Amino acid sequence: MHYAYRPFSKLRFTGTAGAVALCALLAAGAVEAADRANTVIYADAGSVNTLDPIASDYYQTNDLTSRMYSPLVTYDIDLNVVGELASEYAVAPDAQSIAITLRDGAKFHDGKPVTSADVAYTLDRIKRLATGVASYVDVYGSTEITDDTHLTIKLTKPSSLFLTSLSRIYIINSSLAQANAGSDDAQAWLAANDAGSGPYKLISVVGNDITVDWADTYWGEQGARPASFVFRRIDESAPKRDELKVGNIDIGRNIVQRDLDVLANEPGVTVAYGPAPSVNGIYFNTAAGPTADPKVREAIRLVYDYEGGLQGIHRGKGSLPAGPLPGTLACRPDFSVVKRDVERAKALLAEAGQSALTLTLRFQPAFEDQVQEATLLQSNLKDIGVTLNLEPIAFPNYLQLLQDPVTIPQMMLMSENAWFPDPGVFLAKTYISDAGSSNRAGYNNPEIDTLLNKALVSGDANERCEIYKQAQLIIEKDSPFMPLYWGVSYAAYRSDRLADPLAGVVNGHFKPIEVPLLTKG
Amino acid sequence: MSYLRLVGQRLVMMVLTLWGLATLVFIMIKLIPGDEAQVAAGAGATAEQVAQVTKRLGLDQPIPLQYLNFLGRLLRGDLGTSVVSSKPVLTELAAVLPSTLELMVFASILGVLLAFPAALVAATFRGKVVDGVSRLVAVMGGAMPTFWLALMLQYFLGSVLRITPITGQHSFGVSAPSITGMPTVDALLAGNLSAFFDALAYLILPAFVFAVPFASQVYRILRATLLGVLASDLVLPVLAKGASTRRIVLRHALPNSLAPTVSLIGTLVGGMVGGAILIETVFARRGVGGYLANSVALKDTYAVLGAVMFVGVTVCVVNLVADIATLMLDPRVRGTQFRSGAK
Repeated sequence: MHYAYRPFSKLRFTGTAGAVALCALLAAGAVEAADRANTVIYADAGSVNTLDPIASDYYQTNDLTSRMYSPLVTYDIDLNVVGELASEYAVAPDAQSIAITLRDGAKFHDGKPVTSADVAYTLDRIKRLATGVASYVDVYGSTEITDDTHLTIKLTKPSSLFLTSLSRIYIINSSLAQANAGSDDAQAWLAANDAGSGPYKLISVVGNDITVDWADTYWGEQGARPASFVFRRIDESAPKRDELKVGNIDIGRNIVQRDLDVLANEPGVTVAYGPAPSVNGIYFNTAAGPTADPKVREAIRLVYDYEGGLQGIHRGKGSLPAGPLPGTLACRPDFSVVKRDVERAKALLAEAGQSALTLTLRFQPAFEDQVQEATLLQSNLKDIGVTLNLEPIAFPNYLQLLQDPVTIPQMMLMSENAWFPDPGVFLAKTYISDAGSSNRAGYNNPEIDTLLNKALVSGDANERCEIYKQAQLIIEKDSPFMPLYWGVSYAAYRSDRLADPLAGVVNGHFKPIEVPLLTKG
Repeated sequence: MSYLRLVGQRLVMMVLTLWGLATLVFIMIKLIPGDEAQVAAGAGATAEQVAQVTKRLGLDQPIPLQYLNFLGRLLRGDLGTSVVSSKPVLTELAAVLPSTLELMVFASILGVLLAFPAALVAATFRGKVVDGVSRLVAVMGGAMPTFWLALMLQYFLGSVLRITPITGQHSFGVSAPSITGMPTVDALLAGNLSAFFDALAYLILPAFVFAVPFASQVYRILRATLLGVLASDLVLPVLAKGASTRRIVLRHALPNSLAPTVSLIGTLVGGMVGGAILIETVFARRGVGGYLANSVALKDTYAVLGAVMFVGVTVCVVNLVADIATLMLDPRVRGTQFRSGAK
């Protein structure tokens, strides 16, 4: 068994031999006593600010809440919606309500059965607080309870996307939450406590470790899943690499490519790569300034060295983008990859009357790849006489600028992830004109509004798919977004203990990443 | 003027300083671009949802009113609520603060233990090899970026030699029930020696990295002061009496060199909180540094204010203690201070 830090079993300090050797022996003995064999330690960057499932739009929080809580629906391996707490569900033909039947035998961690009242409480609370995952279900109206296991969710306007959005709405034990509601609708209490019915229950928060254990109340099979799961916050990449090497952690995310390359040669460690529903790219301000001209946007798109960026910045991991959506989403037309064409770009700029143009690109300096992509584009744009100023920006500042189309940055480099497999969610949130700050380009095309709103009220999946394709063709032509790179999903893990955590495209994106043990102790 | 009066005066100054600090940080955080309500509501929130959150958090009130509300709460010992976690800032700080204090105290002790013997030996053997080597090490220690030093030590000691832990605060399965929030102290209180030594092992590397620049500065000032005292007339009569070098250095030169060193230690300990951001991040330790960095990134106003107030209180208290210690150690400073105070 590969096992963690063995404090002092190989103690080599001689100067402090007496006291430290004693501590070595004592500590090592205590470590051996713990059930490490049935525990998976998962290290990732970023703070888990709260365990309130309403904040599950935040990646780090969702890593835990998706294990502690259950949604009504989830996805199968082919990304079809399937029931989780719901055994049956039916979207009304007008897409304005959803009838739900709850699964028999589903229980919260305190043993209380999951009822319709819990679903109603959860959705009503999200509506009251209007934060986090509330943006996924902004058309929620009310819940009509028929009995303990039957309910109907009513929407304020038709939405064929509501069902898929329910996969991120984790149902709360209403009795516990109401008993601890305080003056903030149980936000402070849920931030540090468990009111879920998911496969794992919260055990402890010690230091940077959050530990959850398998919940016997969960209706599903445990299978190869570990008895305990520890989420450990380690922000820096190099320490994560070293901890993986010595076996103190079993799986690490957010590790930079140079460290992944080192780990790929390490015995007992495997770096798995898989497709990811993500795309790096640049949003243009389509509402104001020179980038409001589609010819300028197209010209800029024709200048970037896509292949050089993929190989030089991303070391060949990922792929060249084709179309505005992440490559793993369904309902995409056959787009061809944009090729660099400097002459055509110059001609387009001349047609637009913008031959000596100065533009500004904002980016988040915390992301190393963004800095390099911005620099590459700056260099490429010199070829067509465009001066590109690079300005860093903090995300809260960016969100504020998005509130008014006039203040939207001329160009903003972003890494976008699809949170749901239905491409309609990504398209509607990003390109419908009244989508608010999630419409990062200030894009306003009545044709797109009509198409996407038509899809929203359609109960026919095939019809929706055709509409999405039409919409993408128009968006691609308009170029409000310039995709630079289709991302890749990766995980470095102890392959002497775990099976491939990225087996299946669903893993880690639309459902929590699975960490099956090879053998259970 | 008595010590009591001096402490009273300094406490009044401390309150005024903290008020000024709170005001300055409040203004600065409001001036930084970014909408707290939008952050709290989420990146994809609709305009209606953002407006709803703005109202709920009281951010629709005029900024002067928000400031007065903040001061009012502060007087009642309430640091406000984090807009990100919805938890009281005081509760959050109480959870992370002990860990930082533990690290700071341990690092300070380690720094003093490294610097004092080195400075004493260097001053005693001035111009000899040992003096030259210790000066070189001190310069290197002071010049080395702590971030780089931390990564190198993690790699060689933790990953290659595997004799120290790399990150975290305790081994898997080893921890005492949290009473103070300081793993070493909690383990002792629980009478769990294995947990104590385990927590100590996790403390050594970050504390050492923290202590290196600290020790470097303390070494330099102490060595220089010792050399000054050893070269002064003060030592002549002691030397004439036939006292040993050891006695001269330890009983006569060291006490007369302590005042500036203690004053420097006070300043360094106060400044350590800022350095904790880096150390806590690299060693994946919970603490105020990481909390402050996270709060600033998320524009979590009251969390930032709470953490800054903690830093302010720490700096003020440590400086006060250092000033009192200096007064107690050096009758010359004591005389000047109390005479001028009496005027």
